[in-house]
Amino acid sequence: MKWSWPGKWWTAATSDPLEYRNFQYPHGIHRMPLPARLSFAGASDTHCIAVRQGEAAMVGQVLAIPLGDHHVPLLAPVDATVRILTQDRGSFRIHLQPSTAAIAAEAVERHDSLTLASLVRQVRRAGVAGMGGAGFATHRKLALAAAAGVHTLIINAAECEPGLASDAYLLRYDAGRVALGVRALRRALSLNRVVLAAKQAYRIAGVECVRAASNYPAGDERVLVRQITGKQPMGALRPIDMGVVVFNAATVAAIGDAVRNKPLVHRLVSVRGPAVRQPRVLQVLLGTPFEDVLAACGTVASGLRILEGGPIMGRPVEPDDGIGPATTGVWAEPPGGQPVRYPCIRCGLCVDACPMDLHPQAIWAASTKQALGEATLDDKALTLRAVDGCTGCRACDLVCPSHIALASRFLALQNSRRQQAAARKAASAALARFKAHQARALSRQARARAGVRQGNESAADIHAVLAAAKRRRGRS
Amino acid sequence: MLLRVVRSKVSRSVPTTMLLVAVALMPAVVMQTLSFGTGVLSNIAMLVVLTVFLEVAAAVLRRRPPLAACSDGSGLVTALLLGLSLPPGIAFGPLFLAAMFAIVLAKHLYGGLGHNPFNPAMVGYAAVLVTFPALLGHWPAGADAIAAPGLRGIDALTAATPLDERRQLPMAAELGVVLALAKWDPWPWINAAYMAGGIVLVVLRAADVWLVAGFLLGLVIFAYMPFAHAEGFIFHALHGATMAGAFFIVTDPVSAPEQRAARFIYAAAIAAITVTIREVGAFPDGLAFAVLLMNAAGPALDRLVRAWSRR
Repeated sequence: MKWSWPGKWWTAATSDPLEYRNFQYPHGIHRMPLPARLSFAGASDTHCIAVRQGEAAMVGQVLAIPLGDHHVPLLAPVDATVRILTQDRGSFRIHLQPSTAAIAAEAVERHDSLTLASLVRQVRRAGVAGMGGAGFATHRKLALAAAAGVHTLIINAAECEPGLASDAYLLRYDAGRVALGVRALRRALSLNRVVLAAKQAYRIAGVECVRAASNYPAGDERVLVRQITGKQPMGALRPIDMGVVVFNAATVAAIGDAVRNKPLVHRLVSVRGPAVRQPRVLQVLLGTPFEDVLAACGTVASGLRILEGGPIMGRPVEPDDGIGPATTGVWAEPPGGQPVRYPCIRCGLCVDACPMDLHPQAIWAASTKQALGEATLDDKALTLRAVDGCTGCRACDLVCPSHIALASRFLALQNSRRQQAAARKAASAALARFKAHQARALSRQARARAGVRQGNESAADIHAVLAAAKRRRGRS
Repeated sequence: MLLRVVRSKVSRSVPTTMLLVAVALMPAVVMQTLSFGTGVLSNIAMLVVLTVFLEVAAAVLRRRPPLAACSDGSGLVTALLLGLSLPPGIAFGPLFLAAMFAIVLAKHLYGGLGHNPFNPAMVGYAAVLVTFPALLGHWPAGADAIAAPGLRGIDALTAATPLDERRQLPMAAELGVVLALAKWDPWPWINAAYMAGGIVLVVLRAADVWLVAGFLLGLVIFAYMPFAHAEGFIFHALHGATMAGAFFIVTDPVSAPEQRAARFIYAAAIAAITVTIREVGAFPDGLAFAVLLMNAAGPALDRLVRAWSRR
């Protein structure tokens, strides 16, 4: 029996992240000085290392080759020396030491009339991955969108996580790159509508501008699609199935660079949080360690909790991890205790907060197996099925007075449901194979019994097939 | 800081919400104390102590962290509601019975906060009502009646509440008995105090506006039903436990259904049953029974609404 007060039962959270909602940064993009070291991490089942220790890598040189088509290559963002290579249980880490103070200006080629295939190739070669936070390989998304026949492009610059301004700064100071990307995409995907969703109004030729809502999950892909098209993509129905493809503004700018043969080497990062002394929007080389980025803005203490992205959906990172293409921002706060979790009191705040119109408290209750209202298993299964619509935005976690981690449970549920569905599919496929095999065996037996001769190929056919097989073997 | 906690939609935790409800009950505590004397305060004080004791004891028996169980603040709200709904200054026995039923039987035996199908305060109240019917029949008369000349030298005076009186008057007339009437009726003021605190809760979104709206709508409809007396909605709204029910008891989210439509029907049905019991039932006020009945029907309502919305 623990006779102690639960920690922090009175106050809820250390900080209210929404206080950063309308946060103002100093004007201009601050360029970070060249860091002493760049750090890249990856997994061995997705990438194969392509450099040796001590090797001098040039800007744009491939450090790791992607295996398969689902990933993008890791590129050296500057001329640098490969310093440390560590490989450990399926993951690797590459450290680079930049060798020149200035980034060499590369030769710029313009390919304004790219076909879809060459755009996909260029984008893949430039190492572009979704820069809005998810990091999905952009060339994959392009190929999927082209296959689905999309007609509308939404440029997402809504950045709803508190305090993000990287996309706003990109549009304010560097909109030309975005316009180039729009031109390439319009041509390659033959789009007939391009919409820019941002917090402020901008004017870019040929682009429709929509003001995104300022509340929290307004920048969520599916929320945005509903706002602009009026239709809700739910569960398995993806936006591209509705003819809409959503790219982050920075991704579009990177596509514009890729068209000009410039690899993705840096991005804009909003650095803020209760522990950051001078919040800024920085232009940072990919691979720059988080500690260097924070040092450039000044921090109030050490031993901070660092989140990649924002305070709501941010992913906790180590100080020596490197900035990646998907790092929209850096959030630093003093480490605080977790607030005490109380039981669900079914207050309904999460129902009001959910952007996908789900019933988080009902799903939670059904998943805890204590639901009183779920009289039948059927009812419970129907309630649980709704979890597929969850986008994991954590809007419900933010309002929950009991501080229940709803979204992470929902994502885990989604995952297990997906695995179950895959297992069911595999099992039924195996059953079908077995039945077909049995049927073949039975018919073979029946034919044998009836004295029918097996096979009906002529001797010449058999000789031709044998000769072809021998040729193949000889070649390899 | 309190203002920040109250205003912030993000960080209002369960204890803060419960404390907010307790603060919203304060006008009613003051008004009942002014009307009925300090017996109200002694009720509440004893019940708070009993509640904390029983919460800790139940948590120990359930092998749960005991201080975490009583830190959620739900016991405090239960104690306040029970103390206000029981007649002022009653003995320890009935109070203990009420607290025992509310905390241990209604809440912890069902799995603690968040798992109780019935409103704990109403379970405790109903237990006392059924066990000691005479005790709840009469409330102390208003201060005016005690100060009335000719009644000096009497230690205490009880008088029927207006609801009680109304039920008994025809009977009394037949028997030829004259009931002493209190000059000042405190109940409209008490109900107004509940309403004042309750509106704050609704504005701060600590109470669901759909539950309150459903209750008031049900009250309006049933106050004008053919079987009802002619007093109408205003009388029902300002007498008995109506406003306490509308803003503090019906709005308990744990024992209410969770779908919005189900909540509306649930609250309207509570009002309907309350008025029906008042008008044709054997008890002067019927809120507690109405709430318990609808608590039992809540999950079924939820299922009905869900099935209906899936069609």
